[in-house]
Amino acid sequence: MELNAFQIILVVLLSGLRAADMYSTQALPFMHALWCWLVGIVLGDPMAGLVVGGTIQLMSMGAVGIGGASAPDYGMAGMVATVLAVTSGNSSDISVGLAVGVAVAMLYVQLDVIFKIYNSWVFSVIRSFAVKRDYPNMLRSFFLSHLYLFMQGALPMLLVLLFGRQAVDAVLAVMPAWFTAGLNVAAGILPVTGFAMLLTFMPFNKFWYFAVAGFVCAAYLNLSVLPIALIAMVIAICYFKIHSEGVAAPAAGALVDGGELEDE
Amino acid sequence: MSKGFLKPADISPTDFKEPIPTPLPNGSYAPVLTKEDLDICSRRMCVMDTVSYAYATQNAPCATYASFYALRKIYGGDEDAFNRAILNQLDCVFNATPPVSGLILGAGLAIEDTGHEAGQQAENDLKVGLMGPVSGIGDVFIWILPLTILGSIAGYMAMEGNPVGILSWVAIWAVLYVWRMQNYNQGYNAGVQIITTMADKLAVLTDAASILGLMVVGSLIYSTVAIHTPLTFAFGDVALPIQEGVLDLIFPNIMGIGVTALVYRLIKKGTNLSLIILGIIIVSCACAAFGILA
Repeated sequence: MELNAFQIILVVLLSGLRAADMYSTQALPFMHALWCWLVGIVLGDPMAGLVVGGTIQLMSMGAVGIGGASAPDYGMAGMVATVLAVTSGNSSDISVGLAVGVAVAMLYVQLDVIFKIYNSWVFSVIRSFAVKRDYPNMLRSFFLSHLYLFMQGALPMLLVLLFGRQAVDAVLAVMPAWFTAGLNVAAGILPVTGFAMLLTFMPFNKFWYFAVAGFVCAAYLNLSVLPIALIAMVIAICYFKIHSEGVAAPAAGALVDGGELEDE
Repeated sequence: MSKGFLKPADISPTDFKEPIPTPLPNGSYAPVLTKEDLDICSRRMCVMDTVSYAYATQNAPCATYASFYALRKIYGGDEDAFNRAILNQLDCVFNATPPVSGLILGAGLAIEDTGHEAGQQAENDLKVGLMGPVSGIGDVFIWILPLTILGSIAGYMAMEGNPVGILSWVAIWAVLYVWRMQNYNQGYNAGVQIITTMADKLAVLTDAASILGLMVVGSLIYSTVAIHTPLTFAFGDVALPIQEGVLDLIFPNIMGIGVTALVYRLIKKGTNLSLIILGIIIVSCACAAFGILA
């Protein structure tokens, strides 16, 4: 499918805004499914945006750059994958788009490191204006970081929009059948990485049986995710009530225990 | 100063015409910051968040940008003191979960508002001392849990073509955003108290929230991980499909659980996530080529 100039400009803008928002305003951070959906709407295929975005969202869970760590940029991956899925004309097969998108996400880990090094330079600019007491320019130079982020999102997206389809078509033409089939299989397995990453952040060893309970609700009771989340909420509230009321009385005892330990 | 979204209308960054503040008899100063001033700080923080992150100074520039006009008001016409205060902010390493960092920075401003330059050391100590614990709580409640619960519901519904999950995530995030657009006030008013007194209850709350998250993740491992083998045992006339006839009877989606456990182990061991993803793609291609998986 051919894109018109208006669509290209909008998608490039969306891509730049998402990249800048992720670090600066954080109004819609990590909502990859949302951004993919928006791209899908602009390109006239919201369904493809939702499916690709949902897949990327599940894949990305746990991939949050906390405390300055660099995480794969799944938002960019999802938007690229959406564009490729829609423009390749066969939006029911999203596996190739996803594979390219995941490659992009990995590439962006490196770009993230470069951004943080670039910021060291921005800091030196800010500080030298502060030393010179040139406050208007100091306040302006903060936005060098925003500008860089916008470009980091917008420019690669422009390249994908202009040349992505031809590139993917060329790749598809030489790609053996086992590889496309393999990518389809991989698309089914890759969400595992998100869940596994999440489990390492959560007290899985302490509460593993609740994960089992969730699995049973889905596998044997055939409940969808929303009712399971509501059941889980009830259990969480009960847990909180039991333990926060229980804490009140023995808290004094615990404090004494702590004191004794310190004395030793 | 008041009336203004990101910048107070009646304070200029270039003219220092205000009177130089004079200390009270006990050496401290009368606090000057109002609710509106702190709101402006919170909103300026929303513009910055973690955009200035560099390895050496981390988010210190963001904190400086947010508190610029508050400091400008605290030091009034004393341009030299203001300049030292700005450099102090720029050089004090700071990094906390952005939506809650106003709690710490607001508390810091409370110290500087009464202590002026004498309070800067205490302010810096407070910021560095609190940014770890507050981020520990903030990362769980701002990033990990919403991403787990809202993100997985949104992602799962989106895969089925339903945007409701996404929209409810946006709505819930918007509520948090409205709160954070004034959270320097909570930090300023409660100072350190809020964080220390709530700490023991927060541990239970974190546990309860983790239960919610784990149950959702457990259910999603079943419903979103799709591994299917077309292999079939054939004994003469009797054909037994391995997936439906064997694996599903032992445990539905048993291969999904196996792969999740394997990847979990690898991540715990510190294997690079990119390598794991690459490995999954390679193994998938190999299995697809030999017809083991489809």
